[in-house]
Amino acid sequence: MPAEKLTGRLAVDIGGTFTDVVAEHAGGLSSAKVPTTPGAPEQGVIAGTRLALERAGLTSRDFASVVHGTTLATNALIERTGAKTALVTTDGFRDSLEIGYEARYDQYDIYLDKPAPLVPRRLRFTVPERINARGEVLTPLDEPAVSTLAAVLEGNGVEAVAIGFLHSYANLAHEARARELLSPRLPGVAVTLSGEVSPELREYERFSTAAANAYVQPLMGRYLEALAKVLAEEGFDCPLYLMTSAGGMTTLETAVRFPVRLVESGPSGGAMLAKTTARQCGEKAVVSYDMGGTTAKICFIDDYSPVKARNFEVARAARFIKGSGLPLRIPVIEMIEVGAGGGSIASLDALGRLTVGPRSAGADPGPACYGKGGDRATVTDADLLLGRLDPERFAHGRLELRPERAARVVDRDIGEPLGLDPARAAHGIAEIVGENMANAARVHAVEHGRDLETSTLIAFGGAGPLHAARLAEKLGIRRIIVPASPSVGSAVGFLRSPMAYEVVRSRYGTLSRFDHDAVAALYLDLYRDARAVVATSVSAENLREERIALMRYRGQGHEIEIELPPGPISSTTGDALRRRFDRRYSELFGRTLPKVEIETLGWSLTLSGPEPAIAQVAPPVGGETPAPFARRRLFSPAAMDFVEVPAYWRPDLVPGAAIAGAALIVEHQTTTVVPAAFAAGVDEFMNLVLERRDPQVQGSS
Amino acid sequence: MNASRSDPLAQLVMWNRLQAVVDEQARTLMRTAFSPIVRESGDLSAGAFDRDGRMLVQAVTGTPGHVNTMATAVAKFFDHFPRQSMRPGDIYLSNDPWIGSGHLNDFVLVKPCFRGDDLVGFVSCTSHLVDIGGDCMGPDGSDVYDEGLYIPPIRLLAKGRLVETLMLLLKANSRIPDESEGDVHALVACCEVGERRLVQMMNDFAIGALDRLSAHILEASQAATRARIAELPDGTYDNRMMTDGYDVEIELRAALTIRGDQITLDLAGCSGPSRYGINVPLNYATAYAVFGLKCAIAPDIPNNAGALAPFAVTAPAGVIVNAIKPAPVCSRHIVGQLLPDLALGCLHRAIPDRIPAEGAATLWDLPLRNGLVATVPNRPFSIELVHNGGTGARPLQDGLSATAYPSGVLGSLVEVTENVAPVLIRRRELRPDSGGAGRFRGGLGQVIELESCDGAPVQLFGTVDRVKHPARGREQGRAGATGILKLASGRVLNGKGMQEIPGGDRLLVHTPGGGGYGDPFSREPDAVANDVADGLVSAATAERVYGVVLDAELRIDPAGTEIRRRAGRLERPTAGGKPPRTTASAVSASRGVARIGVVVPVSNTNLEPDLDLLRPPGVSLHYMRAGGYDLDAVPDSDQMRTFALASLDAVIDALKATRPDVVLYGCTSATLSHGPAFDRSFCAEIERRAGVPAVTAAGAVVEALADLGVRRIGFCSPYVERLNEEAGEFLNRSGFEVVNLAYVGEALGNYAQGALSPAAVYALGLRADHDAAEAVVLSCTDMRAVEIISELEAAIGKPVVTSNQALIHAAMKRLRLEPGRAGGGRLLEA
Repeated sequence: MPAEKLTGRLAVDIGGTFTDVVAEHAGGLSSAKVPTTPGAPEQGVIAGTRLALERAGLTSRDFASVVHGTTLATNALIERTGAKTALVTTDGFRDSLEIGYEARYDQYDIYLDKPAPLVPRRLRFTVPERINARGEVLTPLDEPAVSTLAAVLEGNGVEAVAIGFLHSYANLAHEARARELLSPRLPGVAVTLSGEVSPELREYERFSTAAANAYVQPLMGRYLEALAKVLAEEGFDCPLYLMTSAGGMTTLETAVRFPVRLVESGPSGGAMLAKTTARQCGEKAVVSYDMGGTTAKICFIDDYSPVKARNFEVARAARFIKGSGLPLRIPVIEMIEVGAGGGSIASLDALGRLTVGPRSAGADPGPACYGKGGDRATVTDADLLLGRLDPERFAHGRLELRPERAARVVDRDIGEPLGLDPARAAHGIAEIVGENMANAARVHAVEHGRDLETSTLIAFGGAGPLHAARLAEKLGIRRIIVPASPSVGSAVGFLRSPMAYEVVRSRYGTLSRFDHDAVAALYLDLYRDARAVVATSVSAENLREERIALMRYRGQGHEIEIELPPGPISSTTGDALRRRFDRRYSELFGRTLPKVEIETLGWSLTLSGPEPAIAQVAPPVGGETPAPFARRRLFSPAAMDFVEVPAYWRPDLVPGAAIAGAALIVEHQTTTVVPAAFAAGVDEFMNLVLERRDPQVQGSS
Repeated sequence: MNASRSDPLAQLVMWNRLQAVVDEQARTLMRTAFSPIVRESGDLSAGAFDRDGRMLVQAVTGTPGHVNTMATAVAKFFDHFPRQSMRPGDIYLSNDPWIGSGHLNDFVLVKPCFRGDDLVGFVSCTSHLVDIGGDCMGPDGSDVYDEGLYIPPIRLLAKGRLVETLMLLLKANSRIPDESEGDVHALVACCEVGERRLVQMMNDFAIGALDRLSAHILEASQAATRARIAELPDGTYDNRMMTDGYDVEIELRAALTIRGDQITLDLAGCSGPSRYGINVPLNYATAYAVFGLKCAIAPDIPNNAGALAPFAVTAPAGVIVNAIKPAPVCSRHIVGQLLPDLALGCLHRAIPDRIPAEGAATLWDLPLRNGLVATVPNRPFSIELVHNGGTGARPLQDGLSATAYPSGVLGSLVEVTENVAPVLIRRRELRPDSGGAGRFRGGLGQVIELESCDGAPVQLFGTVDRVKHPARGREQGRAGATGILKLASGRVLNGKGMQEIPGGDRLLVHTPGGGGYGDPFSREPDAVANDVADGLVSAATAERVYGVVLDAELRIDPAGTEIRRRAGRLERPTAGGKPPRTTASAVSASRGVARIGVVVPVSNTNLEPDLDLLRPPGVSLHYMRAGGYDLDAVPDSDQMRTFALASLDAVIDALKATRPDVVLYGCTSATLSHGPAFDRSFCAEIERRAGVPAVTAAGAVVEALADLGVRRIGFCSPYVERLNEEAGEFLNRSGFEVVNLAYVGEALGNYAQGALSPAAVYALGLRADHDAAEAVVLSCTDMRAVEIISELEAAIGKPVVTSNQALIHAAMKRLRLEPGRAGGGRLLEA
């Protein structure tokens, strides 16, 4: 079959519990969910792929590309199963990686332990060399010392090496030379340069990122090779692309070199799904809400573009407590993660207060109602008791839910101690989990100067559609969209991601002395680096550029991102940046400080390929009401009692269908709850669109 | 949630929401603040209060000095602005140290929150302004008026309009007016966000007042805290702590009384006020002391007025922790941050197995600015680097290295510092052997070396502590290392006050280590070996302090370890803490207490008379002479090495016949000349042969210096010059720093060394002294040094250690005899 006629695309998302495979083809989407096989993850991929192809009626020859995201790198960091890694650093700074910010992550906990650095002290070596903040060499690299070190590293059985010298973001020469000296002497050992993997100011984050990259590199290299091999054996002769944490695709070669960029690629796929849905529906201010078994992830999508960040923390010792993990400085879609998922456990704290999460029963043993040995009250148990889940149709009917078990644990752990009946106790659990998510979203919104009430919520993940409406009410949001196949949202999102790569460089300057030649030269460098990554798959005329300056007032510590004006960088660019900064600062914080110097801290460039073409659709308008397949008892917070509502089978719904709340819209892996205050419709893309019908303030339903 | 104002669930959900309100406040403040210590390090607080000014929630971000002072600050504004006079849009401000956070740099803002016309509650926040005029970077002011602009409670915004006059005044009093203005705006924005969200929350839940919610939060928190206190044994528990002070040392004393469900900490008995700005307003002292207690007693109960109510702190007016205006208070955190350790030391006596050892505690922040602004043309800079020492070991865990406690601020990164100030940092690494030894090791301090990168002088404002008095261990755990501030050229700096780092010189900062927990001899040998492999503990310390013997590949020598530890346990006090008067040896003592066997070089005629002078009552001394060297030759390194290598088997066997409890090896230079590793294995060899603990003279000197807690040494001996230098090197390699080495001036023979008069030895000791030295060593068992110890100590004001005195000291420790030998110098008199 000639290559240009291939239209099929395959997406594979390996999560901690399940591997999701989605095949997209002319006839639509076919998906499969199979257990992850941790020992040899590629086996699960093949199993899922065969199932999805069978459901789609296709063969491996029908596909133009495979896109893959995985939590493998994340898990290696969490479980500490990566390579034996050494750090080579500047004389006098052996402990930068360990000392970090000198902080305890919990103010009141005097018994906490900090996460051990990925490289223990005995494998951290120093060599004489020094470069200053301007990139000038103060002490030349002691080359004999580096050469001598090679034998020491080999003697220690080191499998990966990170090289991190001070100020290497400003001058990479010493790190590069050290690699030249070490690599030939250490065959088979991967070497990561901090100034390549994260060329940014702040040695702790940069060294931590380099160490993490080196730590996962051998493992990821082996895995990606094995995956490419089995895919080829299955007959896929199309390119394999990897999903990055920034929501773009990258090549296999780049993924092998910078595997740390694949961390959290699954959630970034979810954000890309929300972005695509936003474009389909013309929603310019979106809150993306992805709730799974363990966590809920919330991110903002402005003008069809997910809000990005450059800091991320992985493998937190105390889950969800900032500062308890390993910092990574890589481009990511900025997400707040809340310990709120279907498996989150509800309990009472020392004050008898109801708390939910962050501990989770996961998928195994899972919630009590799964009947697989779980004995703690979870959010899913509460959802079942509130009538939100369909016990018979859950998980293709493969898993029978047991309401009596849910009732027993919810009553025992929550209801009885608080003097509430099981339904009210379950309602309490759902309310607390909703509040936790809403509070996180509110705090996040402040940081971005966002008005949540005019935003649209796009909800997916196994538990997202169950809780979306109540979350929207709490946030004052009036419109909710639940895309098709919400429970495999991340994999679907992979298919909606462009080829993209972001490079960033720290370079300090002030606007009053804006050196446009230097900035233009820096962008030439950045362009060359990014181009090398996306070149294989995208032709030059199809590339899109996004250039961002990181700016702040002198004396402040937090930068804001300002997009450079289009066109070449010239003598007027500085003034344009100032105007853009003033406008954005004012939007965020209500005022500007005209007399204070403005600093530029760094510059980034994202090169991306064309976005998949997406047609926009009109919101659904009052069509016909389909026939419910059943009537169910649903707990109504307004009545504080159960009410009878119709239940609709989502696969049967057609575009134009209109459903008034209160109702349940059921599908295999999840259910969309439509409260009385909302009405639901189905658009041409099979998105469910929920609109609030009345002008009531939130919190009063 | 309309139906359910009385629903307990509704109260929980609202409490939860209130937390989000204050977290939003804090985030706004950090995002917009200018002071690096606010935005990078989180030196701030934000909270929501009820109508009576009682704190309901605090932001997760924040530091105890701010949070807990803010908790009491809001109600104090009512004295100046009665609540009925407050109007929507008003915001009140003060930096009064006795209202807010203890010094003028900290601004506290209070905003009454209105829902419609009803005053429903307050929001408040505090943060640190870089510069508010005055001499505001350190403790050198002589009263609070030297420390900057003093702002009593005033109305900053009236009905939403900024009082411009005030901003003009503030800016005119700051060296960095624009940033100061920005910081005030950040605080205002923080309050405005707080009020908006608070009112929105009330609207969402359709409640008109916070009264019911407030009562619920405060009652639940107070009841839970009181229940925890009620579990503690009633009683009064004391503690005292010596601290460095500025010019004179300061004693801190506390008496903690637990009665039922109430705790009172009385700070009467603390030293009086300082002349310098290290005094502490009581509100700030209370904030930190209660924070420490809360961490140990009720860390998981939310911090609010209810949870804080069961704790009371009292102190008579005028003691250093209850400073009275206008005492200077700029660097009040130095003593303030030691108070958790002081209070926890009391609590340890009530609940002995839950409390960590003492830690470095006080921040090691380094306020730096360029030298004289008027005469130095460089760009002006001022920066406050924030660093820390180690925390104390916990009952079941090691301490944390280079980590802040009790403060919650973040440390400074090298690249950030070098990008904003003309300094170059040459080193920032953990400081080996600084963690106090114990079953669980104290956290390590760190070493930071810093220099000006343009040759211009830099002013340092010293605001650090634990330079003279270390963080103490618990339950036989050892103290952490004391901190050091000095110049590479040798000058030791004071921990307090403005001092200059000359261009071309380098500042060396060694932050203190945390104290150890439990007997170091009970630490898992594997844990010790790991620490040695990681370079956190030296092999010498592993053996000397932990009793763990390692071979050259750092593998544990189980037999050697067993002997070291058995020998070492003899020096341990018994469980009651009081060492017994009698020997622990199974052998009955000839003259009531113990027998000491001594190996003495054949030509030595001073060791025996010296030991006679220092002999503890009831102890008998038994000598065996060892030869094998040319009596008439000048004893140089070679001769001494040979002497040490001669077989001692016959000598030890003969001594064994006296059934000694301990054996002393009475020649210092013999093992000195071979280095510390040889000395230790030599000593172990004697122990193996004798079957009892042994001490070499060289080892005894090292042990004495360690016990005195000194590090920088002046050294002298009657040895030939090269041997003298080797002796100095021996101490350097044993973890000390010989800052001065005095040579006797001529090559003396064996008999000439013994013939030196006490007056000549005294003169030699004076020459060995040095400004930087913390103690002077007079080495040689055949030199008449014991007779002049007291005179020399009086003359130089520092402890003096001699070989023979150190031998007796080490023997007494192993025999568990109490010190108290008149004429034995500070080492034996202590």
